[in-house]
Amino acid sequence: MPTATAPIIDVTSTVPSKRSVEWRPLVLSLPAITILLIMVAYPTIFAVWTALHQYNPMLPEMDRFVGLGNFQHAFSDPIFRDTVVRTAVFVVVAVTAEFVLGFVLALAVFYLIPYGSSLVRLALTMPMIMPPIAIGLIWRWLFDGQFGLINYGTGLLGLPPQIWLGNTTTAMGAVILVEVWQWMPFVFLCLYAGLASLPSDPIEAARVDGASPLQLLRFIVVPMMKPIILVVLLFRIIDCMRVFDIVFVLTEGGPSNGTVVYPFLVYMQGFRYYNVGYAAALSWLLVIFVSLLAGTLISVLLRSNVQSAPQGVRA
Amino acid sequence: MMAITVQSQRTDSLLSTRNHCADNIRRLSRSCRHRLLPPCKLLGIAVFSVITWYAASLRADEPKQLNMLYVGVEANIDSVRDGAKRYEEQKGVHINIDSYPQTEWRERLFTEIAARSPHYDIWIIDVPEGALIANHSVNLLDFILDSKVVDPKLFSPDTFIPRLIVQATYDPKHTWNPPMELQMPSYTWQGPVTMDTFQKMKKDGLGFYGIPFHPNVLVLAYRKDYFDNPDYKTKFKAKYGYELGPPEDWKQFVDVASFFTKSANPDSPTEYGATLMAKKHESLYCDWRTWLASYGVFEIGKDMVPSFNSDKGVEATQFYKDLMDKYKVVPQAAKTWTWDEVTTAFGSGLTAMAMNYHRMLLDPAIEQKGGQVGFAKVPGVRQADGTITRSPHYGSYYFALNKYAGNHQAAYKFIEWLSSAEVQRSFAKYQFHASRRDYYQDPEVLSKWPEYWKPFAESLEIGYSRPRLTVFRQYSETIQAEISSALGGNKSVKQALDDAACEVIDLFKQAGYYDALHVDPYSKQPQCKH
Repeated sequence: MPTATAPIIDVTSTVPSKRSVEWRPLVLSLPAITILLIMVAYPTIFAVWTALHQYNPMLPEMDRFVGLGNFQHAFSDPIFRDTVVRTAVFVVVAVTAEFVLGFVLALAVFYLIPYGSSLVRLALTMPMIMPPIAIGLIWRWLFDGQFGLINYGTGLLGLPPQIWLGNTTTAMGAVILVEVWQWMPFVFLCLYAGLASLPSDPIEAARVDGASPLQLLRFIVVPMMKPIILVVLLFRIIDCMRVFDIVFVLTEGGPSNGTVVYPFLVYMQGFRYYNVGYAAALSWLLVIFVSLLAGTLISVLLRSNVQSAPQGVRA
Repeated sequence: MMAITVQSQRTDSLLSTRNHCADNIRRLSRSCRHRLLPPCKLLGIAVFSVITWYAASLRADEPKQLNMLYVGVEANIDSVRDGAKRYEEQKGVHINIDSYPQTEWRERLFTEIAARSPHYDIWIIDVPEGALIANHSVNLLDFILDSKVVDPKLFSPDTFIPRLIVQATYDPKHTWNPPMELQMPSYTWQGPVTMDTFQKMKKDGLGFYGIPFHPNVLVLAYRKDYFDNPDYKTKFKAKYGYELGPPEDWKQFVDVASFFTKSANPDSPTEYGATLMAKKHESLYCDWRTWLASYGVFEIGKDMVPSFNSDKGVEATQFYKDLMDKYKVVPQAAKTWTWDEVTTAFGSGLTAMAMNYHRMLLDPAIEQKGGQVGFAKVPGVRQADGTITRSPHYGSYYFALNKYAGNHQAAYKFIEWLSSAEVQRSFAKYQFHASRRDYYQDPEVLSKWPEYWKPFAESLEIGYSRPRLTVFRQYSETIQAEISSALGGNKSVKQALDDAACEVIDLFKQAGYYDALHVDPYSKQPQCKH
């Protein structure tokens, strides 16, 4: 006779075992991991392998392991050294100009143009959305020494015509000008958004206490904007360090090698000269430098967030 | 109602017929299965296998599609598209053409070869890439010297311009030596081109890696309306003592250019006499070497030691610079111009003369006012005996076959057809630059633009092409950068050429050229020894 017993609940059938808890997510994410390995890990490993070899796919008989030879060659190559200096100058001048102009414009539009600021914002966005190749071609004609509009304008002012892209100094200036023209609006928009998001209380309080506009800017607005400024600078520095398209269309690195910047050097080595091993080594140097720079800026950003956050609250 | 009934009767009748047929087939099938099964099956399998094998072998030899990597306007894509369409109509083989601008074409070619991709059966090759591509291409001597494959009427070697043949001829053991094509055995560039030429190549261990297709050569364009103007003619003769006409040598070039430069002659109808393409670009290198070669400088010796920084080399380069800075007959802006801007400058009426690799035109507004263009060979250096050494820069595209693809024979047959004299003649309407002599003598071709074809064809016969190096692009850009420095006034011409020579030696050393030839480059260029 069957006895009435309380239903037995098989705990093991509803609660997954420790083993299945460990493996199921792994198995489920295996396709994604596999794709990631193929798309990221393999190219990365291959790039390391390439950087350690003299590797020209067109001349397989010349391929050989050179260890750190490509890196050594870079540091002894005067073209590499000149390019690093030139790129540093480009980044410092372009980012500084973009930041100063962008910030001044953001302040002016935010505080001095109560109506129609959306129209100004829209107009300033135009260069950012234009393809860099088109920008390069347009500016190449503007800078042309014979037919260019810029020389026409300076001629009206009685100034002698200049061969803007035919002289190393003015050519680099022209490249920086185009870069600033295209990307200053990005800085402007970010900083404008930052200004719009600032709390009004501290500014009002400072005004009541009699702070001048300059004091307001220096002691209230800039410190509160610091995280946004750092993010914008981080973006612009990294972006400027990989500038390529404008140089390619505007000057092709000339005159002489006067506008060859780092990414253009990598391109020339890899895709024009087929020195893929050397180009890979140059790329790794850039990756290492940009990572270190970005890491430093991010840590500064995090520290500034901690300091500017209210006491006891971690940003 | 009547109609529906008739329709229904017809449907029944059709169904009944279909069932009857199906029964018959079933009966036949059953009888076959029961009585004839083993022999029927065996025979069927055998016939099917033979047909499949034969079809497969046919398919392997005669593909229905060939893939071709092509460059855009630089090599007249319109004519190739037209030819491909006609080939499909005639032979039933579809030609899939992927065409890119020059830079993208080179990157695509490089990527394809790096991956050893069999995708493209045919590549168009620009001569500077030749030394690098040769060992990835099929040696066409295997087809040309096989009487079962070659069609002598289509290939017709005797009409090829000899200097285009050498551009696809390399020693597979070291494709970079000798570096200049005129250092190759004379039968490869002097002509006449016959089947013996290819026999000799085979005997000498050379390979032939492409069929020449679309050459370009530097030709002088001038304002015919001004040059024919009686008033200008009289004034010019009074000033210089000889007839105004297209300049024959560089001295005349300066005279004519000065006459048409406003700063030197306020009555000049044009602002400048001439223009150059002196931006740091391949155009500068090509321009410079025309001047260099006319002074008799060969660039690189057989021992791979550069010679462009010789006294003559310095003189030629200095003269090139002087046209802008001393004689001022060329706009300063030419230091930022390539072939594109030269076309614009001449077309807009800024200059009276310009040189380029295609038939330049004037703006329609200028043409309407009577503007006309004439063409002539580029000037050269007059020698003591009165002869003139001219060496216009020229280059050529040729068709090569991808070693890593299949369909070699089918691809060969297509490029043989496309490069044949008859087919090339049919491209005249596209202003095609043919690789055959008879094209430029054909009345139908000459009926359009005869004033251009004559100097063009004559220039091809005396043209001087770029070195054949596996590191050509780096070599060219090294020279571009140094000459650009000299033109910009950052270095003297001598210093720039000496620096370029040392950089080239470093480059060639890295490429292994000197080790392979057991040459000490510093014995000839001691200033380069570190």
